[in-house]
Amino acid sequence: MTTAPTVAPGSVSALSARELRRAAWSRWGYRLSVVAGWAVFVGVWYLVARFVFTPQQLPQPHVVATEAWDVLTQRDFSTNIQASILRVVAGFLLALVLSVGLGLLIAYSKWWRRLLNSLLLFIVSVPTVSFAILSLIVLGISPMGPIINAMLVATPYITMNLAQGLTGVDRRLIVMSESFGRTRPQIITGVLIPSSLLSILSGARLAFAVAWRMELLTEVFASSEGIGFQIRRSFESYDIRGMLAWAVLFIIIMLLIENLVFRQIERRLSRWRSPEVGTTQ
Amino acid sequence: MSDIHAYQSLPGLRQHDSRPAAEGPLTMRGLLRRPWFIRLVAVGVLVFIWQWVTWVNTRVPGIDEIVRFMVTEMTGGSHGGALTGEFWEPLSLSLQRYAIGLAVGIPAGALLGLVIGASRWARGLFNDTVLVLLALPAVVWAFLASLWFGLSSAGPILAVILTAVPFVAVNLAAGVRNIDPGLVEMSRSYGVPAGRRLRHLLLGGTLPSAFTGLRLAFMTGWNSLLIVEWFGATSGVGWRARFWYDALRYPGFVAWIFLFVILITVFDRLLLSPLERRAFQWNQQPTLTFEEEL
Repeated sequence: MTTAPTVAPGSVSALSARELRRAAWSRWGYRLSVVAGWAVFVGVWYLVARFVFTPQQLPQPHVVATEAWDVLTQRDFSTNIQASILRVVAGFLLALVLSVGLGLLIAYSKWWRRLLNSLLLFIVSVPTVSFAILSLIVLGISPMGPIINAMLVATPYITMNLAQGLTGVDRRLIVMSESFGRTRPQIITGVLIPSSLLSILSGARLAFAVAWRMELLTEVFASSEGIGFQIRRSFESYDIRGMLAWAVLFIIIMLLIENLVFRQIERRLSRWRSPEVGTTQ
Repeated sequence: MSDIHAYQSLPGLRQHDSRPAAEGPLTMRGLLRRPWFIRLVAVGVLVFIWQWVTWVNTRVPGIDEIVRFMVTEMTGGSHGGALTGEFWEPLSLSLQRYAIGLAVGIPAGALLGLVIGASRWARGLFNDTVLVLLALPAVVWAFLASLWFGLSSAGPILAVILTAVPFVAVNLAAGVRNIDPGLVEMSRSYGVPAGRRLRHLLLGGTLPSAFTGLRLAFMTGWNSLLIVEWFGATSGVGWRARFWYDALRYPGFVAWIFLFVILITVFDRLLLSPLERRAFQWNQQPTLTFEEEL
């Protein structure tokens, strides 16, 4: 993808040096602006906390940071975090299993595609708070609520991406496998799923983020432990400091999972794929 | 921090098939494949699932009870005792808050998105802040808004604004950045006037992602409005649902929750979808993502 500029041989070094300098300048300028952006964010927070609200209404950033650290080193942190993560992972895995089935149905039959398309779109358009509140009366306060809700909201995203990946599989590969006498299950596990893995992964990433938020919201309404429950408890005792601290931890955990789990899997998968892409050019 | 793109797009979740439905002679087989019939089956599946839940769990009200309750609520009849139905008042109040919040939040988000998309510096400056706002769960905004503003209307409105802004901004910024630079250069060198360039390049290039952002802003804004009203309001639809929940009148509570879903779905079908179809008339891409033939 590199484009070589066509210039007279003598001027190459001068031009490229200037261009390099400009590129470096703009790269550093961009980094500088990112740092400035964070400074502005924290600065505005300080100003608003100082002049608009009382410390109890909006604590200053460093107060929230120390509170988050306290929560992190406190004993009940691990039980709450563990509860939340276990639930969201359980819901997510259930969604993954369900999605493989639904995705295959969608890819194979037009009728199922239409039916599931409208059902899954409906699930996506339902306000998430309705699921959270409904689980209160259907399941009561139990760990099943967050798990099932996480599964419900994650399924459409994974299924849609999976189906999209499956329909995008090179048809010649399927025809070839058929003419070499492979059975349908063999084609599914050997051709279809491997070649749509990247697409499944991008859906899974999105689905996990959505499921993680759904899990939190359900815990706010119907749970007796977990991050969401802690946020709600802080809210009810007018403890904004604690609420923001838990919210910060919630975001950090999500970023960690994104970068340590999904990004790594993606890197591994695309490493496997990249030579193929190179040879087609 | 650079990559919480998770909330900016719903891949493959557009619904209308722009191709005309095949109108063959009405056979049994043809009937089974008609889009409206399939939609009917989908509704049937949902109703069946709900009825199954009511059989399993006696606390869950059946659909007949829910409908009866809603009719009483809508006509202002008596729920027994001094309780009378209230419907239009909470509904209109909530819709007012929703409209004000979106009327402020969408232009603000659009402006921010345009700036982030157009300038590298602005992107560096604002991008991470917007992503933090996006990553913060709606329930935290809702709690903050209700603690700051008490039981007034300001809390719900602020929550709608704060959830709408980042969704619109992120999507519009992505749209602006995806405009083909070759087209911009070409139109400039052919001396296309700025007004037309703005209309065809900027508007045409960003419309798809702008609609994604708009949809998400409508959906998430409604969601956080309901959360604020549930926890910190004495009026509005969210409060009404909470009221029946606290009164242990589950049919009423579930009726209102169904209403939330119906309202946003109807809104999407009646307003956003036609608008989207109109906007894409010049550019008939198949918006149904699955290829029809495998």
